[in-house]
Amino acid sequence: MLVRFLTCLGLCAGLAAQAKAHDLWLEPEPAGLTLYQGHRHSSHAGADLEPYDPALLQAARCGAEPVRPLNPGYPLRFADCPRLSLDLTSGYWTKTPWETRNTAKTGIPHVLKSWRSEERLIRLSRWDATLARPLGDGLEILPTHDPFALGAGDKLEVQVFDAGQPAAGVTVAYGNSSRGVTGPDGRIKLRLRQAGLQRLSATRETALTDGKADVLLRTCTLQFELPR
Amino acid sequence: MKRPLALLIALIWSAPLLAHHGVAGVGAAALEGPGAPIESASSATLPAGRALAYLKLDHAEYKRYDPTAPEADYARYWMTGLGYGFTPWFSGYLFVPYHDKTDEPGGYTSRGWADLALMGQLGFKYDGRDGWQLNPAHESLDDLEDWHFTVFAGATLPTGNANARDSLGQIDPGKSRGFGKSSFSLGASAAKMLSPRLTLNLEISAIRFQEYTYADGQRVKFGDENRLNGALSYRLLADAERKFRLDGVLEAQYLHLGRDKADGVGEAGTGGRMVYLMPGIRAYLDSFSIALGVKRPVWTRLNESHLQQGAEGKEKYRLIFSVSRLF
Repeated sequence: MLVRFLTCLGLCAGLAAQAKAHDLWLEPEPAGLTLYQGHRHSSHAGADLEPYDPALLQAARCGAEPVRPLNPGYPLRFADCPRLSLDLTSGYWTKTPWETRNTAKTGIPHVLKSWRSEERLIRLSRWDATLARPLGDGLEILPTHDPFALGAGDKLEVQVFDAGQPAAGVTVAYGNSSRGVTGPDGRIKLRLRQAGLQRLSATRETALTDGKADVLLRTCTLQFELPR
Repeated sequence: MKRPLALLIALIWSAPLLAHHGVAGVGAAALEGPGAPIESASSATLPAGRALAYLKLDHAEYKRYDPTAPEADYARYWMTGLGYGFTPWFSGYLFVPYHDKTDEPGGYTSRGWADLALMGQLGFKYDGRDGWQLNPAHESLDDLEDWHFTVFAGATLPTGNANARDSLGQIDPGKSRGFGKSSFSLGASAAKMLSPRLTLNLEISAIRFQEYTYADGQRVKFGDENRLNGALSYRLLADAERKFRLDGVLEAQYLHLGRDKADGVGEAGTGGRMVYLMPGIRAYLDSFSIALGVKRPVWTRLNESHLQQGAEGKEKYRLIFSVSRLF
């Protein structure tokens, strides 16, 4: 556990940080839930907002039903939904001694590491136990009890699923800080440090055999807001 | 009976029962987890199915007063140990001590393996949401911020030579390498992260001895030992890439020693109360933990201080070093 956790802190978190140097979140606005990217809620420095390519979006669901954005351009907006789930990818990444490039490793010399980055963002706007059930595809991080009943300083238990099954040994972060790995039942408790926007992320790395990258790096972020 | 200093040195043999104190390296379950003391009891149990190997040196250098008579010079208490996590909340330990108690030239120097010690440790915690519970198998860094507790109990086995004789053929119980009978320890500890970098550790413990009749007919019962320890550890730096962490530690130890009894009568020049302060460091590298501290008595109320050269409370300093590795 100790060695595995330290390894995860050192490698998984490090790789995850490279893959997503900025955060994605959904902002409730009059025009709808708006997808932003940047450092507004990040613990490290950077621009408040950073534009993104709307083509990042691979799929969107309200509950289990597929939905489309309200507009096709930046920033993407979605109709309000109790559980909105977005699948995004920034594609392949390759790190060399000189740079990190947003491309597959094919044909690139002196590759140190390479990965494909996939991110899922789940936003809950209210508590309903049915909303916390896994949909059964990909990586999911969900609360096991009502998070809206909590305040800053309280602990929330979450459960991580992969393909609908509890996923053990997955690194989970609060904001940008890794807080541990999930147990055999996929569960872990995290302390909510402040009011406002909450972002809890699970990151899992698996080997890739497509020849374009060494590993697939998947991150699922659970987002909800607590009153300030 | 004679040599109060020797009797008092023997009291330090209680160290095996408390040797888990240095095992505290496992208390830092991650680079950002709680810190651990140098010598006092940690409130961390071993992970289930994992073993811990441990080595500790306690080097005591004594103040000397009489240039015309051989006095206690120094003592080195080596301790090797093995621990195993039977469950996430119960750990067992076996300690094998080796003692080297050296007098000035003309005195009696005693070296050898001392009594084996066994110890069990039960770990539990308090979580504001789930209440009291035995230590779970998996805890996040946020779980590790909760109050953690242990109760521990142990006993020595009379495997050391209690009836070793000096050059004159006499038995000095204080220099013997065993108590002749088992001694017993009981204690409790508590730990809490006060901030992301600062951890408080507390310990209360006691050791009780049995009367033993030596081969020459003398009956000795060593005095009770009661301890109250507190430690603050502060994370100075952590390097996730190198799996390295360095903590500064400040430890305060209160020790109450009861008076020894020889043939049922209280012995002069034994027992007392004292407070030690020990600054030190603890470093973690992957699964290794190394601790180093220098301990000095800062307050003493010995029963007959002028007779207690070589006793606890009469050290110039004690150097505490330990290294442990989790397998």
